Amino acid sequence: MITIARFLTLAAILFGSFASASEGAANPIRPAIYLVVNTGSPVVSLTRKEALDLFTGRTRALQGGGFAQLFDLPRDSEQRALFYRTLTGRSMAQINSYWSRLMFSGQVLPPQPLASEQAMVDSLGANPHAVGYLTEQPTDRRLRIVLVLQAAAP
Amino acid sequence: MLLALALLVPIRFAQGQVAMPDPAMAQAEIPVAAATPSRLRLNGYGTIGLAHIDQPTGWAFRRDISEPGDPGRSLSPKVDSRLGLQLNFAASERLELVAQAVLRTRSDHGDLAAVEWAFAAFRPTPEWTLRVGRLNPDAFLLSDHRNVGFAYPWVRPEVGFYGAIPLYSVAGADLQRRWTDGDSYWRLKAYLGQGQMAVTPWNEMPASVVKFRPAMGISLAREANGLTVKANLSRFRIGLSKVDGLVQLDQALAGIAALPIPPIQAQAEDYRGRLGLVSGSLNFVQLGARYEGSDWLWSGELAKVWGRYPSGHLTNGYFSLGRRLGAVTLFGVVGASRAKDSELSPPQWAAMLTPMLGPDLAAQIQLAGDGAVMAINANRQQQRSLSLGLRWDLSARFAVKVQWDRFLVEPNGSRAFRNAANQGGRVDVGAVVLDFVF
Repeated sequence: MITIARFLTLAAILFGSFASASEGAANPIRPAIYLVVNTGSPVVSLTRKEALDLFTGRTRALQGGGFAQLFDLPRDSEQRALFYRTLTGRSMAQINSYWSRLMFSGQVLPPQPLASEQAMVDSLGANPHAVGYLTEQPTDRRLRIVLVLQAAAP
Repeated sequence: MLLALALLVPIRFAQGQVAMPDPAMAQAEIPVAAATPSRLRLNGYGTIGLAHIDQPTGWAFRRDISEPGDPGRSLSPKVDSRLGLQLNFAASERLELVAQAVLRTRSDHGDLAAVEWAFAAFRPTPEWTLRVGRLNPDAFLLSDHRNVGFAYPWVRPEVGFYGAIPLYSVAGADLQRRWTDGDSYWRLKAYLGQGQMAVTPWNEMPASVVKFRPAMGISLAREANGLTVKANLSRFRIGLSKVDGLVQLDQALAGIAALPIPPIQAQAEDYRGRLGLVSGSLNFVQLGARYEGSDWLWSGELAKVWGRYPSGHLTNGYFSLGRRLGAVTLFGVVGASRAKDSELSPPQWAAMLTPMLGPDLAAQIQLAGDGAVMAINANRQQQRSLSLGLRWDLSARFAVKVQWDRFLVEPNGSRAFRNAANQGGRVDVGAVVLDFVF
């Protein structure tokens, strides 16, 4: 009886370890990107496509009506590059090329770049029409996460 | 100097100066103003380029017919170099003021910078935009950003296609609606205004102004899964009354058309019509497509030009294929332009008129006829081109490009080239440029 129990315990441990290892191999822990709005925003959640439309200038319409005010992290920051690579699959040079086409034809400006993630938190916290993103899960009570993206591989 | 300016200017404006709140205040209510980004944004773009041009003696290669090129020089920084600065001021959520100044060579301003656009954009809803002021007409795929080298893979937009009617701005208004439908993003835009461009077809001539009054057009674009398709229909009434020498030529032809000799009357009136001085107008229909995948990219445009200005009738197009290999994009472009009408031969008026008017007057009338035919043929564009090159993205905001072009220009088809004097010839251009945005 004891032998059987030991066997089952050992099997459970081995199976558990194997299962954990398999899960870890399939879903290696990657940083996440959090799309964030003010808690006063009418936006409760965003789909990936809605986020793509907003951050590629296809629309400025906010769910529930009105204009979205979009914020970006610093223009040459790794966080910004990671965000656009995750959302669009494009490099920063490709994204800047795309935006230069829209911006310098007078169609639409890219999201307003802010100085840091803390500035992003503060700007989102102060503006109910704003949509932005962070690379760390926000703890500020004024902010609401509306979409979590698993960051693209480097 | 341009590079130094590009490196120095950005930072303060492009980063969007945000007032950083006191950390202690972050726990309490933060005043809106404390975290409100600047409403003023300054951005810019530029190209520093050097082109080596091998062309027939006297010709001047240029990006489009509103630019003078750099006559007499085989190595020129002027052909591709340019610098643009754009100021955006968000007066409110719905009202934006935009101005863009561009430093490049122009036939009328020399090498000075000029404000190409200055307009107010009113957005009553996120879908609708009404712009009023000095605007960029939105006709072809690259019409409204042709100066922004960083926005496309080549050194310059295809010369045969984009060099023919380079209308950079109109004074007027445009109305745009954009919407999404599933995975498709649509944009419908109409514009109405008036514009002008200065041209210098010959080295010894001063710049002449061609007016477009009115200029109007409508375009529809759809973008989905990296593929953009755009159709445009534009119409310009052409005003050539300020073009040096053309008015005198038209008056001479009107006098010749009054002669009681039917064959000469008909030919003189035909020449007047082809020169377009009387009620000249041009219509453009264009279809373009651009695909930008992760590895491959291609684009092509086809345009047909017709109207009451027969010497300007044209069918032209280009196709470009590119392959991305990391930060490097290799590309090739082929282009072709075909004038609708055949080239004209000089009239045989002197032989008919000498018995009636004497040799001297007949020779003068023949000279006017020769001049008319030369002017009509000089407006034809008949050429083919091949371009090969690469773009290397040095960083997120700097790209180096190397490109070689060959243009095969037929006799009486050399409108794109200044001072070509109705000749044909072969032109090879090698260029290295640095494109940047800030």
